[in-house]
Amino acid sequence: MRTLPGPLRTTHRHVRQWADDLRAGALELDRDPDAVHRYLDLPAVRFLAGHLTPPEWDRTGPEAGSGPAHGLATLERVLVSEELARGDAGMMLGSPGASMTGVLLGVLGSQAQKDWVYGRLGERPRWTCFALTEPDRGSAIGEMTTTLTPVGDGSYLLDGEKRYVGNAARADLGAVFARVAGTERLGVLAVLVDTADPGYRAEPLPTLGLRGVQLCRITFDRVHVPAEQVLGAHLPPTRRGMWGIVSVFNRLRPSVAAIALGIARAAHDYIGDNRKELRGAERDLYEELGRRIDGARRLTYRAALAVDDKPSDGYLASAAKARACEVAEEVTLRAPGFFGPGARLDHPLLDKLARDARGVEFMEGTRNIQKLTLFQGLHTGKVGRL
Amino acid sequence: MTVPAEVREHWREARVSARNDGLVPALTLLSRALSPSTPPRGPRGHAVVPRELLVEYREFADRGGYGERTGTSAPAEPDGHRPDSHQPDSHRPGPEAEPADPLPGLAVLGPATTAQPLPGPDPDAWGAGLAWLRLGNSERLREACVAYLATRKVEGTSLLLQQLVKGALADALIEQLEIEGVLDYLTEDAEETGPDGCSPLAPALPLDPPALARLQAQITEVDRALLRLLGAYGFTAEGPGQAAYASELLADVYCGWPGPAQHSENDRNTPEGTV
Repeated sequence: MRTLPGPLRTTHRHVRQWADDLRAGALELDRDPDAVHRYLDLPAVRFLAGHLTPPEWDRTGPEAGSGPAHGLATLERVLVSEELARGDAGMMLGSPGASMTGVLLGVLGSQAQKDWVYGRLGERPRWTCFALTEPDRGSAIGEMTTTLTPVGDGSYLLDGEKRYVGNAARADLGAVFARVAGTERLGVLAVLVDTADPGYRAEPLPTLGLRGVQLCRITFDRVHVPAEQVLGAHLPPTRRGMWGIVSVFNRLRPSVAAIALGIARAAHDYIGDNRKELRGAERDLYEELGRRIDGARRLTYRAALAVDDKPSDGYLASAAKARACEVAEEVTLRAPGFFGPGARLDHPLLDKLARDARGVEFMEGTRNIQKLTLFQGLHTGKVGRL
Repeated sequence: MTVPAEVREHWREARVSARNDGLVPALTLLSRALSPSTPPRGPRGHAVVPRELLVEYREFADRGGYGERTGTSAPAEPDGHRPDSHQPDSHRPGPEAEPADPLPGLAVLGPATTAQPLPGPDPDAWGAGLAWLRLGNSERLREACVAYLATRKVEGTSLLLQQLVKGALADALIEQLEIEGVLDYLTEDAEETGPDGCSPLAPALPLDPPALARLQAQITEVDRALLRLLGAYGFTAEGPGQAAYASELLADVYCGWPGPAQHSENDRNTPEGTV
């Protein structure tokens, strides 16, 4: 596909311009994650919060959470994420808005649930969080121990612990994955949680990069989850279980790849903008890094289109995520070399980008996990076919 | 780069044929399509051609011989100058220097010995077609690896299910998918740009000859990684290593290995740029 729908092209053009503003606050946010409150009026942040839409922001309907009329929701998220992460990945991920919870709602949420979430997000800038990973068990659905215990009226009590959850300490709403007590390995549900409810507690975990997103540890101690906050209950059983969860992650993975690409592009652009002249071997390396980014971008766009075409087709997304994270680390590690010894001290943005690049590796599964998934696709003939 | 639809179709066919039928049938298809009646020659005059096409090349019909690399052609000069047809026989490699065919059915030609060789295919179209062909060949090699490793066992477990092997195959697949994505961009219809003349789908850098040479090198590297999974079997002439070698030879003849970019003398003598 080499021609974008007009509205998507317009969205991309606006987001690209808005992204440049994010850079100004990047280092401040890196030092102080709470600085995000000082940037809530930036167009990019307002856009992510759902309070600003670009011209021709054409949705399928007026209902809350309606997808794009052009039907390429994943590609849209990829293009937006890449540009905003080029501005600053920390600010993008640390912004208020529906974020990953919005993708989850798009697949598993009822209209009433979307109205509830988007209604609250519309009142003022509010954060959401997406709680999947657990201490010592990572993101493997089958290993999950956070528990939903039925209380008899269709509601549940939520107990357990999650870790590495972005924005959890500042979020008003959260999506939480947990196992229904007494069920088998795959008896996992996604529920919406109001973080003001008793028993919810989140505390930030200091990190080496992407500090704007403020990763947190969450504990749930008998948090009450009403029946109407259980996602997917309105769907047929085949659509509410693992199929739904897997298709959510398939939709998210290309966006994580795009964030990695945005970080790589930020470092590459920094070289181009701050070196007066590049010659010889340095120019070759600069161009080679640019081609590496281009190759990973093509793969990421194809992955997004594959998921938009068929949500269960997430193998290209695994390939794109693995490759884009590799490129992000490579470009951000090599960029300081264009400025000589001490560059990571003299050019703090390059140091930040090199640290941030490590952060995307862990989102949506590490490179090794993606490769194992990809091998499975190869072995079963689901990827790499003509 | 605007490419006629029929040329793009030939590229697709070359990839599919290389993957399904093998390198020689694919090269036969591509050569017949893009370089009928004259051997496709690389920048320094060499060619790798299907043996069955030799009889179709006018340049040999006129001279009554094939001019293969073995015995009837002269090596190119270091500066790439094509030797003329009056070079003394003593400059030509003798029969003892005859290389074996890189793959049954393939012939290697030295630089043309006619004063004015017939025009060959468009270098860009040929180069991209070769990249597609070599990608198909690489995918065929990957499939051969999977089939071979599935039959081998270590301590009762299939070699294919060893995690390091899984990872190596996934790495190769990622490379191939990325290469396919870059080549796809060449194969798709021309892009419409927006009013700002910019499209997020366009690569930031052009897919120029250096970019294509890099892509060819990337295919070679994937092949080498896959061959390592085959152990000594990949080193034998009867195994899939032979087609991988022929593929390397194609890349060498038509692209060379991407080396340092060609800079002007002034560039080379100027100190590196400064901050």
